[in-house]
Amino acid sequence: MITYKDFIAHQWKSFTRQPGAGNAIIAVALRFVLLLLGGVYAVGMGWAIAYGLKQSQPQISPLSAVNNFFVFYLFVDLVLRFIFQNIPSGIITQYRLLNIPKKIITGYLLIKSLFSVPTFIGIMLWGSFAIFSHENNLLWLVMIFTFLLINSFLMILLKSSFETGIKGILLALAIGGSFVAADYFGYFSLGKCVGTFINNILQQPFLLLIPFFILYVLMVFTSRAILASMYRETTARQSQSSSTQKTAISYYSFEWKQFWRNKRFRTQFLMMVIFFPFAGLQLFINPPNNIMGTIISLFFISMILFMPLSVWMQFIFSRESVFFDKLSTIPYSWTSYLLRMIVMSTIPSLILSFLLISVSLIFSKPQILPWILCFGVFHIGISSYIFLYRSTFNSSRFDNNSSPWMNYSGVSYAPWYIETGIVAFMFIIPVIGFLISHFISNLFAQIMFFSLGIVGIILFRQGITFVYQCFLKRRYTMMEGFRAAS
Amino acid sequence: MIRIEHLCKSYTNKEVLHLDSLTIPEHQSFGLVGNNGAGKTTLFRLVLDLIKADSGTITSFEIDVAKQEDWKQYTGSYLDENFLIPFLTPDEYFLFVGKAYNLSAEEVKTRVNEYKEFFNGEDLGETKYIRDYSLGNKRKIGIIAALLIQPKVLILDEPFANLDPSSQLSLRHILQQIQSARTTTMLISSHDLVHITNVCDRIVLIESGLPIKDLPQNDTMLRELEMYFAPRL
Repeated sequence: MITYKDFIAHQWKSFTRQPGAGNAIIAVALRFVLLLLGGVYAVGMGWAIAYGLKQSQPQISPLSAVNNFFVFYLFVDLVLRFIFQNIPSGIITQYRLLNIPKKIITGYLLIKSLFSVPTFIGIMLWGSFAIFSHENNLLWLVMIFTFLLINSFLMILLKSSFETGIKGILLALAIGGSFVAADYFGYFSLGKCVGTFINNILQQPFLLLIPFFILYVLMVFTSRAILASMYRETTARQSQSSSTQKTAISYYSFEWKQFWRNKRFRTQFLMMVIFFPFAGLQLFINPPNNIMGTIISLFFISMILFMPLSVWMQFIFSRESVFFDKLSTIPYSWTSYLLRMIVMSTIPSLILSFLLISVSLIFSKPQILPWILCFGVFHIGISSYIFLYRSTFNSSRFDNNSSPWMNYSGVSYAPWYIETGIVAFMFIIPVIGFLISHFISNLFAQIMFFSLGIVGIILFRQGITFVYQCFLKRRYTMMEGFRAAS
Repeated sequence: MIRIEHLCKSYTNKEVLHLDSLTIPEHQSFGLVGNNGAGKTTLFRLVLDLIKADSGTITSFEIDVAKQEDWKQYTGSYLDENFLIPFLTPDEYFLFVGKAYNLSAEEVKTRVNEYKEFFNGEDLGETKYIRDYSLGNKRKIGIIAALLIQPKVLILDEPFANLDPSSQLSLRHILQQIQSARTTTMLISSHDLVHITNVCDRIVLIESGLPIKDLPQNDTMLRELEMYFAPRL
């Protein structure tokens, strides 16, 4: 009889035996370091929130103050989960021909989905907050954990509904928009409502049964959604197998079609369009007036600018690998091709993000715009190389004909030490920005980021050539590895 | 016995399979033949509950495959290499499959050894992962995994494809043995008319999702099939 233990063993083997993973022990250790880094960052944030609230609002209990805004955290958590977290899929297809009940597979995936980085970060953040605010309330933590799990299931349901059509996401947006509008015009405040509810639970613990019940209902629906996704995945594979092969040579129109016909890209794009105005609106409503606000704002602006880059960049090489065998046999200028691709992919996404953020910012805190500009130039000149370099580790092929289910696994992971470096880089940028602006001056920090970006842009060709060589090296290693293995 | 009734399946509003009624009696070796896109794989996927039918039912020994899962206990199948677990070695994979069907490691080993000849001298190896095998060898691994559980129902989609001539003949011999033993209901699709007519008691020819001919095994079966496909050349 197959049990969860077998699935876990397979998960482990698929991780340690992945091509190019290198030393598994180092990989696991670095994965742990990555998690630890995120955890430490979250603990720090928890402390900062507790400290900030005590300083700014000493008359109110930090717990009560947070409760009123907790719904916004859940919203951001949900959006980030939606963008970065995948619907748990794992190795479903391979199990489906065997004598393994579907409920065991869905049960495993359901449990697996709960052990996610956002949940861990959330626990570290709010656990730390509860400790540092000296209101170490276990009931509150249980409740927060329940809400995080609810978010985890909600993410799967939202993504599943988006897979089957736009109706589900439109409904979610309509509901969310109604709450925002009601809040803005003063009819109803969701934040206060949730805050009051949490406060009531603290006084009447039996009310905790309500979030438990919601969690249970969502678990049932999520289980069904995962089951439905199994059928969708196989259907996608079926329609893919009968589709005709595309031509090998890429043209502009073909490249755009490749992106646009991919549901994952469309999902990410739509989420960016939705997320940017919300991020801008958040800054408009709560302009950063203190140190903590500045750090958070800078961090989010940095993240927002990173998002389109990471989304675009990760596809470039996995997509090229589709054509690699054929293109490597004909005269083809890869360097100029990649340069063109980067210009095509990076510049429009940055302009889009600037436009969407600036629209709301221009009315509130125009002084933050130079920061966005400097970070933007920095990302074009420096971050783009880093993301491209990360993309060279893609060993799986990007399949334009299949659904996002397939393409989630179509973009493979870089070794964990590379991922760790990139994530650390993303986390460190706002911190460096804050430290320099705090200890030296705002202008100096801005000039530094801007200059680094400009230098990167000037050395664009060298950077691209380096990345291209790394890409070739890994491709040849992979091909030769296959020959050696066979 | 496998019974299919009023089965319809469409992809993006295009009907790819339409079967009003099809019954495959117990212990029959049933062959499915048709050109690319005829609906052979779709039918097998529906029989294996991998995709949902738009309408209709499929029962395997009176079990509705879409509603219950007991049929999995006696069904062995192999469709393509996507259903293998790429990061396992063949030995590990066979053990895993055996475990899913409550077979001991010893039993698995004994049964796999019975098919050693099918591997045509190729060392299964203990360290080489399935993903590193050629397409033909992957197919052999999948077919052996389907056979080792000694299934009551065996479903193989194009089992002869990608196999070298020796392996094709070896597989044909294995399937003929199963056919003559009359203990297994076999469903096989193939583009190789010679092989499929050699191992099947009955062949249904489908075209654009519709059954065109239902041929019982006799001396003219191969000729009839060749006559049907020949004008297309």
